Amino acid sequence: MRSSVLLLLLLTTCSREPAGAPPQDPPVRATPALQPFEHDFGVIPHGASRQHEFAIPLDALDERWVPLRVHIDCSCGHADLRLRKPDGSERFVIPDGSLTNLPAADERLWLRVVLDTTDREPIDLPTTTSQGYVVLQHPEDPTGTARIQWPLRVRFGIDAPVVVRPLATLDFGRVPLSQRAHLVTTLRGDEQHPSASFGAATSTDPNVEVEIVPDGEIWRLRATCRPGDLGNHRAQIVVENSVPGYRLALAATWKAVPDLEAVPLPKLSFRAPLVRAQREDEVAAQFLVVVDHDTSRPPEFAVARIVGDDGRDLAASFAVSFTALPAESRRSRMTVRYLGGLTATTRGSIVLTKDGERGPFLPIELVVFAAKDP
Amino acid sequence: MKASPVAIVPLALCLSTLAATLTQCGESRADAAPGVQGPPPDRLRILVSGAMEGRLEPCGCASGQLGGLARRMQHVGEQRNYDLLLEGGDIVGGAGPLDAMKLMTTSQVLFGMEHRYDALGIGPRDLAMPAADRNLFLAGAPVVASDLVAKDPEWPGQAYVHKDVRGVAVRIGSLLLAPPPALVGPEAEFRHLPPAEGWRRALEGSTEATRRIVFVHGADAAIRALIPSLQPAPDLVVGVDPGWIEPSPVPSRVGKVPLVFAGTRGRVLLDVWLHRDADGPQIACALVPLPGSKTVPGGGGDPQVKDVILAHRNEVKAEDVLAKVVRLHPTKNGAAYVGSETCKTCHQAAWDAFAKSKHSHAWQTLVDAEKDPKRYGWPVTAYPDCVSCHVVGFGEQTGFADFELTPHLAGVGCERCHGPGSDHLANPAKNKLGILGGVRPSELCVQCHDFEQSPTFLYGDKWPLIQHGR
Repeated sequence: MRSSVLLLLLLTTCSREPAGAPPQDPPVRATPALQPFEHDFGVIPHGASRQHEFAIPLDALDERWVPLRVHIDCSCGHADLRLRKPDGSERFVIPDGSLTNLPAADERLWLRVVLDTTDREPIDLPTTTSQGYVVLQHPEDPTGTARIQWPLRVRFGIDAPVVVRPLATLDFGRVPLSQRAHLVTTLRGDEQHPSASFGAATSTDPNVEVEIVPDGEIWRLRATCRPGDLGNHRAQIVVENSVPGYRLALAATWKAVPDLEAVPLPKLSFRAPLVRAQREDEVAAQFLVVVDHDTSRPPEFAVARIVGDDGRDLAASFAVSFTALPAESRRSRMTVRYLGGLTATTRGSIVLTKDGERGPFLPIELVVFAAKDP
Repeated sequence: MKASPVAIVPLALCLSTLAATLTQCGESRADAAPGVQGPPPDRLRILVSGAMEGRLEPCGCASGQLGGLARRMQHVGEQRNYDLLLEGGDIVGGAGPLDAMKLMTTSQVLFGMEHRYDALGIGPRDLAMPAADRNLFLAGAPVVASDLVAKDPEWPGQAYVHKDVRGVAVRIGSLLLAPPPALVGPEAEFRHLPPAEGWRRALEGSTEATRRIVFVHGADAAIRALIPSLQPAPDLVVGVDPGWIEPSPVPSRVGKVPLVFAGTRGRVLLDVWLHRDADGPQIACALVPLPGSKTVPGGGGDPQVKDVILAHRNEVKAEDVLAKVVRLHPTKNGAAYVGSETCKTCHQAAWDAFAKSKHSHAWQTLVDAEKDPKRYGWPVTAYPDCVSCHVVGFGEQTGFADFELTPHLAGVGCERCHGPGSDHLANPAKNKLGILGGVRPSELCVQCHDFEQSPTFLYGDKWPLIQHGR
C-alpha cells in the first residue's frame, strides 16, 4: 500500500503517466492526485506583512506520514509547520522525522506562510507564483530517502506607493579612507499616489548624510558617504513622506577600504620552474592592479623590499614592473617575473611604497610554487 | 516535546542583511528580549554554511536569487561579531577544470581575505577533485577531516581545528560517513577511520570544558543514527546533507545534542548561538537569507569579493575553460547531434512552435546578458555553467563546442529534449526519438528550470508555451 501512496503523491509534481510507462508527449496540465496547497495573497502593499494558514489533512492519506519540514522559494517568504490544539496552544514540528511530530488526537497540522515585505526594496513586484513543498517522511523509513513533497504554491505581488529610481538601495561600493562617495536617486509617487511629497531624510549612521531636493515632479535624494572604520557598513535611510501610513526606508551599504589597494587581492601566487628565469611570455597572468586612492599624492608606486617569510631578502629573484592603465590614471598593473635563485616553493611578500622608507606601504603576499620545466 | 518559540525579528533593528528574515529557533535568545538577563558569557556566535556546490554567486537567470560569496562576506563584515565562521564543505559540485578554478577562488575569499573562515569540514565532492589541485588551492586553509589519514604530505587536512574564543576552548572536527570509494583503502590516497575513532582523534588533548563541534557529511537519517555513538557528546553537530536545501529554522536534538543542517548553495546561512549550562548545550539560531538588490548592479555584495569573482570569470574566459569541458562524453544514444534546422524538414509544425519560443533564442539571451553591464559585465558566453543550459548537447561529443564551430547547436533546440538525431535522420521509422534519458518531460525541464534558476517554473504553465507534437 505504501508504494502506491508514494507513487500517487509523486505524480503530483510530474505528469499523469503511470510509473514505468515510456515517456509520452506531455498533457497541457497535469491533474495532480494530491492537490497542491494554493493561496493567492493578491497584491501586498509594500511594507505590509501577510500570512495564510493551510490545514494539512494528513488523515486523508491512507498511511501515516510524519511532517518533516517545509520549503518555499521566495526571498520575502517564510513558512513553518505547527501542531495546534482546539484551545489554540501549539507546538512546532521538529525536523527529525520522529513520531512525536504526528498530530495527537486533539491536534491538527497547520502550514503557515508569512510574506513580509517590510525590508524589501520599495519596488513593485508583478504578481508571481512562488513554489514550495511540505516534506513528509514515512515513519518506518530508516534512510530518509522515501520522502514525499506536497506542493505548495502562493501567488502574490507587491505594490510600492513610491517610485525610487534608478537606485532603490544606495550601494556606495568601495569608499577609500581619503574619499567621500556620492549617490543620487529620485523619488516620486506612483500612479495611485501622484501627489506624494517627501520631507526630511535621516540616516541611522552619521557617516551617511542625506538631503532631499524637490525638482519639478520628482524629489532628488542626494547621499554622501564618509568611509568610517575600515570594513563593511550598512545604514538605513528613512524618508518622511505624505503617503498615509507608509514608511519609506532605503538601505545604504558601503565598504571602507584603505587608500592603498591591490585588486582583486593583495596576494599573487604562481607556479614557475625554479631553475631558470621566466621568459616575458610566461608572465602574462602574473599581475595585480595596484591603486592609490589618495589624490593628494602622485599615483606611482615603488618597490620597498621583497622578503621571504623567513626574513630572507628575495629582491634578486624577482623583477617587478608597473604599467599605467589607460583611462585609469591612479591604477597601475604590477607584473612580477621570477628571475631564478630559489630552490623550493617560497612564500614571502612584496612591499610597495609611496615614498621610500617613509611609506605608506602596501604589502602584497607572494607565493611561488615550484613547477616542472615544461 | 518542548515547544520552540518562533518569531520574526525585523532586520532593521540589527543592521543585518537587507530583507533577511531572522527566524528565531531553539532555546530563547534571552539577550534579544528587553529586561531579560544578558547573554551567557560563554555564548558563541557561529555562522554556519555548507554545500555551496560551486555557486560562487547567483547566476542571474531569475530575479530574487539568494546567496553568493559577495553577499555572504558583506553580511559577515557588517555583523562584525561572529566568533566562528564555519563552512561545511562541498565547495565545488564537480571535479573538472572549472571546479578547480572555483575552489581556488572560493579559497581566496573564505581563507585569504580579512574575515577568514575558522574551519572547512571538507566534503566528498571537494575530495573528489584532482589531489594536486585540491591540495594546492586549500594549502593554508583550516581544512578539517578527523576521520581521514592521508598518505600525501601535501594534504592540508587536520584532525581538528582548535580555537580560543574569549577564553572558551572550542574544538572543531569533521566526519565523512561516505567518502568517495576511490579515495579510501589500502592503495588509495586516504585511510578512512571509523567515526568513533575519528571523533576521538578530533578531541585529542581537549578537556571536558572544551566546546565540541563536529561537521558530519551524510544523509540526515544516518547522521542522526551516528550521533549517540559520539562520545563525549558534541555540543553541536552540523549536518551537511544536500537534501537540506535550506537550514531549518527549528533545530533538532538527538538526545541532548543539538543538530542543525547547513543548507545548500550558500543561499540561506544559519546564525547559531551556542552555550552550555547545567542541562548541556543550549542553542538558538536564526536564518540568514542573502537577497540581492534589484537596482544595484550585480545585486550588491562586498565590492572586494565581487572583484575576486570578476577576476575568476575573466580567467575562465582567458583560459578557455569552456573548450576543456565541452564534447567530453559520448552521447546517451550513441548518435550525433544534427541541429534543429535539420528537424524542420519533416517536423515543420513542431519547428514553428520552437521558433516562436524563448528556447530558440536562448543563446542570444546569454549574448544580450553579456552586453548588459548592470546585470553582468563579464563574459557570460564563455562561462560553462551558463552555457550549459542555453545550448544543445553540452558536454557531449558532437554537441555544442562554441558559437563559431557549432552555431546550429546554440539555443535550446529540438535535440536538447529529444536527444541526438543522426540515427533518427538515417532511419526515422526504426530510430524513433523520445525524451532524452527516458525521463518524464517535467523531469527533463527541471534540469535547467530548477528551484533556483526558474523559481516560478510550473510545468503545466510552461508547456503550452512550447507545445508541439501530438
